[in-house]
Amino acid sequence: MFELETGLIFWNTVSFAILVFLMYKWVLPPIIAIMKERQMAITRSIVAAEESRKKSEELLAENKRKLAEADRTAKNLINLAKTDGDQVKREILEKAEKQASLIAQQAAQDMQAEKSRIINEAKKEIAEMVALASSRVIGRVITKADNQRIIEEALK
Amino acid sequence: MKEMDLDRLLEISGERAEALCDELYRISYLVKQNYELMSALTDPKLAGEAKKKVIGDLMPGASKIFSEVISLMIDQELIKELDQVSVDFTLLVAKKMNIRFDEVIFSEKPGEDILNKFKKIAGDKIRYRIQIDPTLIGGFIWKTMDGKVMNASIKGRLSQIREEIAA
Repeated sequence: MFELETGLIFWNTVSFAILVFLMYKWVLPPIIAIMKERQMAITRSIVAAEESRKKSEELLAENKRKLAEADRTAKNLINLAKTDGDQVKREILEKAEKQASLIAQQAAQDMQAEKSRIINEAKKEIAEMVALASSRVIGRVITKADNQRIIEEALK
Repeated sequence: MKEMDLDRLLEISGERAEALCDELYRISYLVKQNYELMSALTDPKLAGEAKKKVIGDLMPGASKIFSEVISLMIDQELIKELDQVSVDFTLLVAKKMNIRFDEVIFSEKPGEDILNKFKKIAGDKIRYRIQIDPTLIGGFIWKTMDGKVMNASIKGRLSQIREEIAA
Protein backbone atom coordinates (compact mmCIF):
# COMPACT_ATOMS: atom_id res chain seq x y z
CA MET A 1 0.00 0.00 0.00
CA PHE A 2 2.16 2.76 1.06
CA GLU A 3 5.58 2.56 -0.24
CA LEU A 4 8.39 5.07 0.11
CA GLU A 5 10.21 5.70 -3.05
CA THR A 6 13.53 7.01 -1.96
CA GLY A 7 14.62 8.15 -5.35
CA LEU A 8 11.59 10.23 -5.92
CA ILE A 9 11.99 11.83 -2.55
CA PHE A 10 15.57 12.55 -3.21
CA TRP A 11 14.90 14.17 -6.52
CA ASN A 12 11.97 16.10 -5.23
CA THR A 13 14.16 17.36 -2.44
CA VAL A 14 16.90 18.28 -4.83
CA SER A 15 14.42 20.02 -7.15
CA PHE A 16 12.94 21.87 -4.22
CA ALA A 17 16.34 22.91 -3.02
CA ILE A 18 17.25 24.11 -6.42
CA LEU A 19 13.95 26.02 -6.61
CA VAL A 20 14.56 27.55 -3.22
CA PHE A 21 18.07 28.47 -4.24
CA LEU A 22 16.86 30.00 -7.47
CA MET A 23 14.11 31.87 -5.69
CA TYR A 24 16.54 33.15 -3.06
CA LYS A 25 19.11 34.10 -5.63
CA TRP A 26 17.04 35.81 -8.33
CA VAL A 27 13.40 36.17 -7.40
CA LEU A 28 13.48 37.14 -3.75
CA PRO A 29 15.93 40.11 -3.94
CA PRO A 30 13.87 42.21 -6.37
CA ILE A 31 10.72 41.47 -4.35
CA ILE A 32 12.50 42.46 -1.15
CA ALA A 33 13.79 45.60 -2.87
CA ILE A 34 10.32 46.48 -4.08
CA MET A 35 8.95 45.78 -0.65
CA LYS A 36 11.61 47.98 0.97
CA GLU A 37 10.99 50.74 -1.52
CA ARG A 38 7.30 50.47 -0.93
CA GLN A 39 7.88 50.56 2.82
CA MET A 40 10.03 53.66 2.46
CA ALA A 41 7.41 55.33 0.30
CA ILE A 42 4.78 54.53 2.87
CA THR A 43 7.05 55.84 5.63
CA ARG A 44 7.64 59.05 3.63
CA SER A 45 3.94 59.42 3.05
CA ILE A 46 3.26 58.92 6.72
CA VAL A 47 5.92 61.52 7.62
CA ALA A 48 4.58 63.93 5.03
CA ALA A 49 1.06 63.37 6.24
CA GLU A 50 2.21 63.93 9.77
CA GLU A 51 3.95 67.15 8.77
CA SER A 52 0.92 68.24 6.82
CA ARG A 53 -1.28 67.52 9.80
CA LYS A 54 1.04 69.50 12.05
CA LYS A 55 1.07 72.38 9.60
CA SER A 56 -2.71 72.27 9.35
CA GLU A 57 -2.99 72.29 13.09
CA GLU A 58 -0.57 75.22 13.30
CA LEU A 59 -2.46 77.04 10.57
CA LEU A 60 -5.71 76.38 12.31
CA ALA A 61 -4.29 77.61 15.59
CA GLU A 62 -2.91 80.70 13.84
CA ASN A 63 -6.24 81.34 12.21
CA LYS A 64 -8.02 80.94 15.51
CA ARG A 65 -5.58 83.35 17.11
CA LYS A 66 -6.01 85.88 14.30
CA LEU A 67 -9.75 85.49 14.45
CA ALA A 68 -9.71 86.07 18.18
CA GLU A 69 -7.48 89.11 17.69
CA ALA A 70 -9.78 90.44 14.95
CA ASP A 71 -12.72 89.85 17.23
CA ARG A 72 -10.99 91.80 20.03
CA THR A 73 -10.07 94.59 17.63
CA ALA A 74 -13.62 94.77 16.31
CA LYS A 75 -14.99 94.87 19.84
CA ASN A 76 -12.52 97.60 20.75
CA LEU A 77 -13.47 99.57 17.66
CA ILE A 78 -17.15 99.17 18.40
CA ASN A 79 -16.58 100.30 21.98
CA LEU A 80 -14.46 103.21 20.79
CA ALA A 81 -17.03 104.19 18.19
CA LYS A 82 -19.73 103.93 20.79
CA THR A 83 -17.72 106.11 23.20
CA ASP A 84 -16.93 108.60 20.45
CA GLY A 85 -20.55 108.56 19.34
CA ASP A 86 -21.72 109.32 22.87
CA GLN A 87 -19.16 112.13 23.15
CA VAL A 88 -20.18 113.59 19.78
CA LYS A 89 -23.83 113.29 20.74
CA ARG A 90 -23.16 115.12 24.01
CA GLU A 91 -21.18 117.84 22.24
CA ILE A 92 -23.89 118.30 19.59
CA LEU A 93 -26.55 118.53 22.28
CA GLU A 94 -24.50 121.03 24.29
CA LYS A 95 -23.81 123.09 21.18
CA ALA A 96 -27.47 123.00 20.15
CA GLU A 97 -28.52 124.05 23.65
CA LYS A 98 -26.03 126.93 23.63
CA GLN A 99 -27.19 128.04 20.18
CA ALA A 100 -30.82 127.83 21.18
CA SER A 101 -30.04 129.90 24.26
CA LEU A 102 -28.18 132.49 22.17
CA ILE A 103 -30.98 132.63 19.60
CA ALA A 104 -33.54 133.11 22.34
CA GLN A 105 -31.38 135.81 23.94
CA GLN A 106 -30.88 137.55 20.57
CA ALA A 107 -34.58 137.31 19.82
CA ALA A 108 -35.38 138.90 23.19
CA GLN A 109 -32.86 141.67 22.54
CA ASP A 110 -34.21 142.22 19.02
CA MET A 111 -37.73 142.33 20.35
CA GLN A 112 -36.73 144.86 22.99
CA ALA A 113 -34.86 146.96 20.41
CA GLU A 114 -37.81 146.81 18.02
CA LYS A 115 -40.16 147.78 20.84
CA SER A 116 -37.93 150.73 21.76
CA ARG A 117 -37.68 151.72 18.09
CA ILE A 118 -41.44 151.65 17.64
CA ILE A 119 -41.99 153.69 20.82
CA ASN A 120 -39.36 156.22 19.74
CA GLU A 121 -40.86 156.42 16.27
CA ALA A 122 -44.28 156.97 17.78
CA LYS A 123 -42.88 159.66 20.10
CA LYS A 124 -41.19 161.38 17.17
CA GLU A 125 -44.37 161.20 15.10
CA ILE A 126 -46.42 162.63 17.95
CA ALA A 127 -43.83 165.35 18.57
CA GLU A 128 -43.80 166.26 14.88
CA MET A 129 -47.58 166.38 14.78
CA VAL A 130 -47.76 168.48 17.94
CA ALA A 131 -45.10 170.88 16.63
CA LEU A 132 -46.75 171.14 13.21
CA ALA A 133 -50.22 171.62 14.63
CA SER A 134 -48.92 174.14 17.18
CA SER A 135 -47.00 176.11 14.56
CA ARG A 136 -50.08 176.28 12.33
CA VAL A 137 -52.36 177.32 15.15
CA ILE A 138 -49.87 179.78 16.68
CA GLY A 139 -48.99 181.14 13.24
CA ARG A 140 -52.67 181.92 12.65
CA VAL A 141 -53.46 183.41 16.02
CA ILE A 142 -50.27 185.32 16.83
CA THR A 143 -50.66 189.08 16.43
CA LYS A 144 -48.10 191.82 15.91
CA ALA A 145 -48.57 192.80 19.53
CA ASP A 146 -47.99 189.22 20.66
CA ASN A 147 -44.83 189.10 18.62
CA GLN A 148 -43.61 192.39 20.08
CA ARG A 149 -44.32 191.12 23.60
CA ILE A 150 -42.41 187.89 22.89
CA ILE A 151 -39.41 189.87 21.61
CA GLU A 152 -39.48 192.29 24.54
CA GLU A 153 -39.67 189.46 27.06
CA ALA A 154 -36.75 187.72 25.42
CA LEU A 155 -34.67 190.92 25.56
CA LYS A 156 -35.29 191.40 29.30
CA MET B 1 -5.92 180.06 -6.95
CA LYS B 2 -6.96 183.65 -7.44
CA GLU B 3 -7.82 185.55 -4.27
CA MET B 4 -9.19 188.95 -3.41
CA ASP B 5 -6.70 191.22 -1.68
CA LEU B 6 -9.03 192.19 1.14
CA ASP B 7 -6.42 194.26 3.03
CA ARG B 8 -6.02 196.38 -0.10
CA LEU B 9 -9.80 196.58 -0.48
CA LEU B 10 -10.10 197.76 3.14
CA GLU B 11 -7.46 200.38 2.50
CA ILE B 12 -9.14 201.59 -0.69
CA SER B 13 -12.64 201.65 0.77
CA GLY B 14 -11.49 203.79 3.69
CA GLU B 15 -14.48 205.32 5.50
CA ARG B 16 -16.87 203.48 3.17
CA ALA B 17 -15.62 200.14 4.45
CA GLU B 18 -18.58 199.54 6.76
CA ALA B 19 -21.09 200.37 4.00
CA LEU B 20 -19.25 198.13 1.56
CA CYS B 21 -19.17 195.40 4.16
CA ASP B 22 -22.93 195.70 4.59
CA GLU B 23 -23.53 195.62 0.83
CA LEU B 24 -21.35 192.56 0.39
CA TYR B 25 -23.23 190.86 3.21
CA ARG B 26 -26.62 191.67 1.64
CA ILE B 27 -25.76 190.37 -1.81
CA SER B 28 -24.04 187.33 -0.31
CA TYR B 29 -27.15 186.57 1.76
CA LEU B 30 -29.38 186.92 -1.30
CA VAL B 31 -27.19 184.61 -3.38
CA LYS B 32 -27.03 182.04 -0.56
CA GLN B 33 -30.81 182.02 -0.29
CA ASN B 34 -31.33 181.55 -4.03
CA TYR B 35 -29.80 178.51 -5.69
CA GLU B 36 -30.78 179.62 -9.20
CA LEU B 37 -29.11 182.98 -8.68
CA MET B 38 -25.97 181.23 -7.45
CA SER B 39 -26.05 178.93 -10.52
CA ALA B 40 -26.48 181.86 -12.89
CA LEU B 41 -23.64 183.86 -11.32
CA THR B 42 -21.24 180.91 -11.46
CA ASP B 43 -22.32 179.75 -14.93
CA PRO B 44 -19.29 180.18 -17.25
CA LYS B 45 -21.58 180.33 -20.30
CA LEU B 46 -23.37 183.43 -19.02
CA ALA B 47 -21.68 186.70 -20.06
CA GLY B 48 -20.04 188.76 -17.32
CA GLU B 49 -22.07 191.83 -18.25
CA ALA B 50 -25.31 189.93 -17.76
CA LYS B 51 -24.14 188.82 -14.32
CA LYS B 52 -23.23 192.39 -13.37
CA LYS B 53 -26.66 193.58 -14.52
CA VAL B 54 -28.39 190.93 -12.40
CA ILE B 55 -26.49 192.08 -9.30
CA GLY B 56 -27.14 195.74 -10.19
CA ASP B 57 -30.87 194.99 -10.38
CA LEU B 58 -30.77 193.22 -7.04
CA MET B 59 -28.81 196.02 -5.33
CA PRO B 60 -30.28 199.32 -6.58
CA GLY B 61 -28.46 202.33 -5.20
CA ALA B 62 -25.39 200.33 -4.22
CA SER B 63 -22.14 202.23 -3.83
CA LYS B 64 -19.70 202.67 -6.66
CA ILE B 65 -16.99 200.76 -4.87
CA PHE B 66 -19.40 197.84 -4.38
CA SER B 67 -20.13 197.75 -8.13
CA GLU B 68 -16.41 197.83 -8.86
CA VAL B 69 -15.66 195.00 -6.44
CA ILE B 70 -18.45 192.84 -7.89
CA SER B 71 -17.26 193.62 -11.47
CA LEU B 72 -13.75 192.58 -10.51
CA MET B 73 -14.97 189.36 -8.89
CA ILE B 74 -17.06 188.47 -11.96
CA ASP B 75 -14.20 189.26 -14.36
CA GLN B 76 -11.72 187.31 -12.23
CA GLU B 77 -14.23 184.43 -11.82
CA LEU B 78 -14.17 184.89 -8.05
CA ILE B 79 -17.91 185.31 -7.66
CA LYS B 80 -18.31 181.80 -6.25
CA GLU B 81 -16.15 183.01 -3.33
CA LEU B 82 -18.60 185.84 -2.63
CA ASP B 83 -19.79 184.46 0.72
CA GLN B 84 -16.24 183.85 1.95
CA VAL B 85 -15.13 187.29 0.76
CA SER B 86 -18.06 188.84 2.64
CA VAL B 87 -17.25 186.93 5.84
CA ASP B 88 -13.52 187.70 5.67
CA PHE B 89 -14.09 191.36 4.84
CA THR B 90 -16.58 191.64 7.72
CA LEU B 91 -13.94 190.26 10.10
CA LEU B 92 -11.35 192.73 8.79
CA VAL B 93 -13.69 195.70 9.10
CA ALA B 94 -14.84 194.58 12.56
CA LYS B 95 -11.25 194.30 13.71
CA LYS B 96 -10.20 197.64 12.26
CA MET B 97 -13.21 199.52 13.63
CA ASN B 98 -13.36 197.55 16.87
CA ILE B 99 -17.03 196.72 16.34
CA ARG B 100 -19.16 193.57 16.01
CA PHE B 101 -21.54 192.55 13.23
CA ASP B 102 -24.42 190.49 14.63
CA GLU B 103 -27.25 188.98 12.66
CA VAL B 104 -30.81 189.17 13.96
CA ILE B 105 -33.54 187.24 12.19
CA PHE B 106 -37.18 188.21 12.82
CA SER B 107 -40.39 186.57 11.66
CA GLU B 108 -41.58 189.89 10.33
CA LYS B 109 -40.13 193.36 9.83
CA PRO B 110 -39.47 194.75 13.31
CA GLY B 111 -40.82 198.08 14.40
CA GLU B 112 -38.58 201.01 15.33
CA ASP B 113 -39.21 200.51 19.03
CA ILE B 114 -37.86 196.95 18.79
CA LEU B 115 -34.81 198.08 16.82
CA ASN B 116 -34.17 200.80 19.38
CA LYS B 117 -34.26 198.23 22.16
CA PHE B 118 -31.59 196.22 20.35
CA LYS B 119 -29.48 199.33 19.78
CA LYS B 120 -29.82 200.20 23.44
CA ILE B 121 -28.50 196.79 24.43
CA ALA B 122 -25.65 196.94 21.92
CA GLY B 123 -24.45 200.47 22.33
CA ASP B 124 -22.32 201.71 19.47
CA LYS B 125 -20.08 198.67 19.27
CA ILE B 126 -22.55 196.33 17.56
CA ARG B 127 -23.98 196.59 14.08
CA TYR B 128 -27.12 194.57 13.43
CA ARG B 129 -27.82 192.82 10.21
CA ILE B 130 -31.56 192.32 10.12
CA GLN B 131 -33.10 189.43 8.19
CA ILE B 132 -36.70 188.29 7.85
CA ASP B 133 -37.73 184.64 8.00
CA PRO B 134 -41.51 184.13 8.32
CA THR B 135 -41.01 180.47 9.29
CA LEU B 136 -39.88 181.67 12.74
CA ILE B 137 -43.62 182.43 13.40
CA GLY B 138 -42.66 184.92 16.10
CA GLY B 139 -39.72 186.14 18.20
CA PHE B 140 -36.17 186.30 16.83
CA ILE B 141 -32.80 184.56 16.47
CA TRP B 142 -29.71 186.54 17.43
CA LYS B 143 -26.42 185.31 16.01
CA THR B 144 -23.35 187.07 17.34
CA MET B 145 -20.20 187.42 15.30
CA ASP B 146 -18.29 185.07 17.60
CA GLY B 147 -20.74 182.25 16.92
CA LYS B 148 -23.14 182.49 19.88
CA VAL B 149 -26.81 182.01 19.08
CA MET B 150 -29.84 183.15 21.05
CA ASN B 151 -32.92 181.47 19.70
CA ALA B 152 -35.96 183.28 21.04
CA SER B 153 -38.22 182.33 18.18
CA ILE B 154 -41.48 180.41 18.42
CA LYS B 155 -40.05 177.97 15.87
CA GLY B 156 -37.13 177.35 18.23
CA ARG B 157 -39.43 176.90 21.21
CA LEU B 158 -41.60 174.45 19.27
CA SER B 159 -38.48 172.58 18.26
CA GLN B 160 -37.50 172.32 21.94
CA ILE B 161 -40.97 171.02 22.83
CA ARG B 162 -40.76 168.50 19.98
CA GLU B 163 -37.40 167.24 21.26
CA GLU B 164 -38.74 166.99 24.81
CA ILE B 165 -41.74 164.94 23.64
CA ALA B 166 -39.56 162.72 21.45
CA ALA B 167 -37.00 162.12 24.24
